Amino acid sequence: MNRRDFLAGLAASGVALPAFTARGVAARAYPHAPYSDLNLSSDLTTNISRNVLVILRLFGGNDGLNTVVPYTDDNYYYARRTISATDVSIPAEKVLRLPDSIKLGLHPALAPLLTLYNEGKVCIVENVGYPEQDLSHFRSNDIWLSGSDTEVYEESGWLGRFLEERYPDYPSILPRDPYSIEVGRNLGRTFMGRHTHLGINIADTSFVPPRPAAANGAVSKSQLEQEYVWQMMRQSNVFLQSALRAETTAKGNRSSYPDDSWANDLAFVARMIGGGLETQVYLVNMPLWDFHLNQIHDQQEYLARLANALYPFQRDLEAFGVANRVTTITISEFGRRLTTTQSGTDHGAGSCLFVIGTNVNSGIIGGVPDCSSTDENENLKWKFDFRQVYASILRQWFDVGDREMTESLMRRQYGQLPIFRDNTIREVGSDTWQTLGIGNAFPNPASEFVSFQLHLPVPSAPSMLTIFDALGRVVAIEKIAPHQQISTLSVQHYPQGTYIATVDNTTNRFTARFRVVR
Amino acid sequence: MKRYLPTPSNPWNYAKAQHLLRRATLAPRDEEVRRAVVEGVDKTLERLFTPFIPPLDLIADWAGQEPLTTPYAPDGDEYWRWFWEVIGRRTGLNQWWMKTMIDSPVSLQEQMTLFWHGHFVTSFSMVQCAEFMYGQQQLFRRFVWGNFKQFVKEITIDPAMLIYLNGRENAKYPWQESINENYARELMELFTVGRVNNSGEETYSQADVRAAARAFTGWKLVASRSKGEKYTETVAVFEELRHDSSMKTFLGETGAWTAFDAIDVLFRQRGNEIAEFMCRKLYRTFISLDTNSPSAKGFIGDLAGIFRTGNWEIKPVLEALFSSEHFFEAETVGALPKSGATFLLGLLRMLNAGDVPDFQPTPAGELVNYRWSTNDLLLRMEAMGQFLFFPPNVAGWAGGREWVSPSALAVRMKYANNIALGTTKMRDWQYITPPIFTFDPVQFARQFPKPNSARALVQDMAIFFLCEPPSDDETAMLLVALLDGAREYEWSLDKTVLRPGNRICSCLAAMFMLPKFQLH
Repeated sequence: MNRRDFLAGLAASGVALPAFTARGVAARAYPHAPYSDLNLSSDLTTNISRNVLVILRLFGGNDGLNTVVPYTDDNYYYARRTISATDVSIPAEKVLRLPDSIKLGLHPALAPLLTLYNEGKVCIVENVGYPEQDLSHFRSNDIWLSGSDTEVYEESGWLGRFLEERYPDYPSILPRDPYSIEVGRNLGRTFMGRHTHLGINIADTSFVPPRPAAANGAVSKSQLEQEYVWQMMRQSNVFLQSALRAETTAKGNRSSYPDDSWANDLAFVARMIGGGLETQVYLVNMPLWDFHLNQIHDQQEYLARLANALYPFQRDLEAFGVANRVTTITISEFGRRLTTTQSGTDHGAGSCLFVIGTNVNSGIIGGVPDCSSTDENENLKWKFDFRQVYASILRQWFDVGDREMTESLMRRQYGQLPIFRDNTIREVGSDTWQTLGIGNAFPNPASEFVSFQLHLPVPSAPSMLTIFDALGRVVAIEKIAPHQQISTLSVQHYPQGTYIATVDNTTNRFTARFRVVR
Repeated sequence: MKRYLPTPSNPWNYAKAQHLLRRATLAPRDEEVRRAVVEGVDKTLERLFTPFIPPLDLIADWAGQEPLTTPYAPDGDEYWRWFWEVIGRRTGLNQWWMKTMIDSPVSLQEQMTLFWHGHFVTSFSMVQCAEFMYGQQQLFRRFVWGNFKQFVKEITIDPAMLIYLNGRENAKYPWQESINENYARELMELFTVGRVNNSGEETYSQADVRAAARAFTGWKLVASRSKGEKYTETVAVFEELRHDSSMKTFLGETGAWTAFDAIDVLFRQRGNEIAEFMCRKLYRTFISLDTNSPSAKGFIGDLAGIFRTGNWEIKPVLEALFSSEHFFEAETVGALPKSGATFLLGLLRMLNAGDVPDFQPTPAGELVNYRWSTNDLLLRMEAMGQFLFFPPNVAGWAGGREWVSPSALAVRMKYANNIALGTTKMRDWQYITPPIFTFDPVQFARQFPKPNSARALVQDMAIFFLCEPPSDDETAMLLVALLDGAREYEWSLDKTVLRPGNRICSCLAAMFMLPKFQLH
């Protein structure tokens, strides 16, 4: 049974299946109705920024040099010779030429991506790495997913921290839709916050939601684990109904995908987004990029699978009319060594990644890999830290409007890269953007009044100040005059909790967060 | 390290015997727990360390033979015959191991074999032939609680491992070198010392990886053609010409190290780290996910001491672990998420559910693979995230809370519900099969002391299945499910008009959905 069949079947049966109905024994209510503590918003939940990020994790360490190929560099061809019949390099005549580079081109299997590139929808970030590159798949993967330094062992993921910061009332109040979804059987650390897990995973499952018994306060280790299991059951129960709703709304994909597991996963993500799921981050795992051997053959196949899945995915998003709020990014825990093994390459440092979407600055950032010299471990010298990419996504794509928060989420300040062409990013490399937007709330926490300093672009179109509660419901709207410097509003009648203030004009959206306590 | 000694205030009883057998075996049956209570802790431990030789029924026609590899693809019909034979043998191996686990007597052997499969990882994703994996299984059983250092040496030249981590391609010829670091890196990071030690310091450098890789050169798989022109046999051999005999500095020691020398150096220079790393993994597998508490650290340190001073014998470590007071502490009980195998195969074992189609013998003359339906159990294991012989990557199954991810929980709920209600069916080509994994619920209930008291039956079944005694709420919920409107005093297994079997099934279905059934 595939996922669509299961969801369709579930729909036919009305989702909220009684827990056990077979053999003629009627279902009975439990003594305690589960979910009585859930405070689910019935109206449409509005996440603050509706922008979506789809992360494709190329686990195994993808070779950047053979993906975006420096086809005019003799050093590259020299270093990639082997004793076998095939060198681990892409012959220049096969490389797909990019319209705006005379030194870099795409692997021939990436032809579908070239189409998107020519449409201005692909940003290639070259020479990405981090200091003290760790060559363990697992350690390096942890570093990429957590955004930590090499010597720091960080359990939380960069996006988990971001979502936790943005939605501090989770999981005591569950939103209607999950904030993040990892496609597959495992739930990794990407969406792990400092305190709780902010994501769920969805594999190709046939699912009947369970009705877990209420768990009491966690005391013993066993009870601690029971509480965790119960939370997982509760979240999957609620959120899989959202997935079902999106699935039925989407009514299938709008472009055709090849019959391939990665393509299936992306098709699923497209249906979720197209069907109106408000989830902000998706992680799709594409493993086994670890080509110690037979790299030319195997990487060709993998890049083709990637491109042939990405292309219909982008077209699908466009057909659903959601492409302008979806960005897709590829990540891989490291690149490969410049030199070769028998017919492959060993773990290395420095690689490239793709950022795809209608809002990206199409082109190449980061220049051409330098194949003329390596560090002492025969590794390429990288130029950009991958956390610069993350910091750029947080600020440019997710509107994490203040610098302190970005720093706290990423543990350090990282320079922005001009990845997005959207006007939410101002001048790259300067701090001009900081003078725009909405200042911190004062006082915070508030009980009667709260004020915001406003720094709007001048001349500014008329703007609206909107206050959302933690469920994303609008609780107040105020008009802001051009040149208005401060806005104060009464919060006397607000229930205690976390609120988010946003300022919108036609081109920008800025946010600030505050709490009401009494 | 304090050994557990039964006292009147801390007696050896059903709960303790159950805890020991739940952790050390796939899942104990009620009669096994009761026997352990009678026999006492020492005799039970003795049983746990009794090896057994699994019968080969399902794989008898090829197990132990050289692999059916082929240097080039045969043509036409012959190719397909060969292809299905390879696939069929893989399926057969998987089913054979699942059956072995379920049919296992009270012994630690299969759980430790599973531990080694998730530790010294290889996978069908690269090792195509079941014969290699079966050979490796035999190695795991031979060293199941044997000498770890010798184990590491033999796994280094195990054909499946040489294939999976590119050992066979790691070579240095006089005129050309193609050093492949894959095995050297994973041997240290995942199989022995770990990336960092207790103080967070790196245990080896990239230069050490390189040096070890050079020492490991020279091994390859050789094909002979004794089976005829198109099929080959494959064995691991050392070839001097491929070996890098130069001086290498590995972990501070310089010499013209070979593979086995390098492993000696590794154990000499990083003995403390190896002992800690392995004992932490055993602790996490058999005692608790929390390896950082002071008591856990102290215990792991003690185990590591036994491992080191015992010259890398594994058995004394496991004996100390399973007989320790710490193992039987209340804090340890019921806090480990069940693996897919423990959850599903263990459930079938506990219920004595027969009619497992995967374990039906193949009709004579028919290849296993033509009967797709017999892959049922195997596919369920895959859906729960524990496809045997296909670990997710070289680090093996992450275990712990990964077993109870939302996706895995969803299928677990469905499977357990279907098994409890006797409604598991399979699609077999055109038609739906009759129910499989069936058991007799009334017969099952009769093994408990007071099956004719609804409350006692619910209590006893809950104690048998759940990781902790049920709360009052849970008991009430289970009782509601069992009675389904009947009055408590009406309950009797003999009142067929009450359809007691159906009611027991409903009660079990409710029980299997509790978080307490997800842990052990």
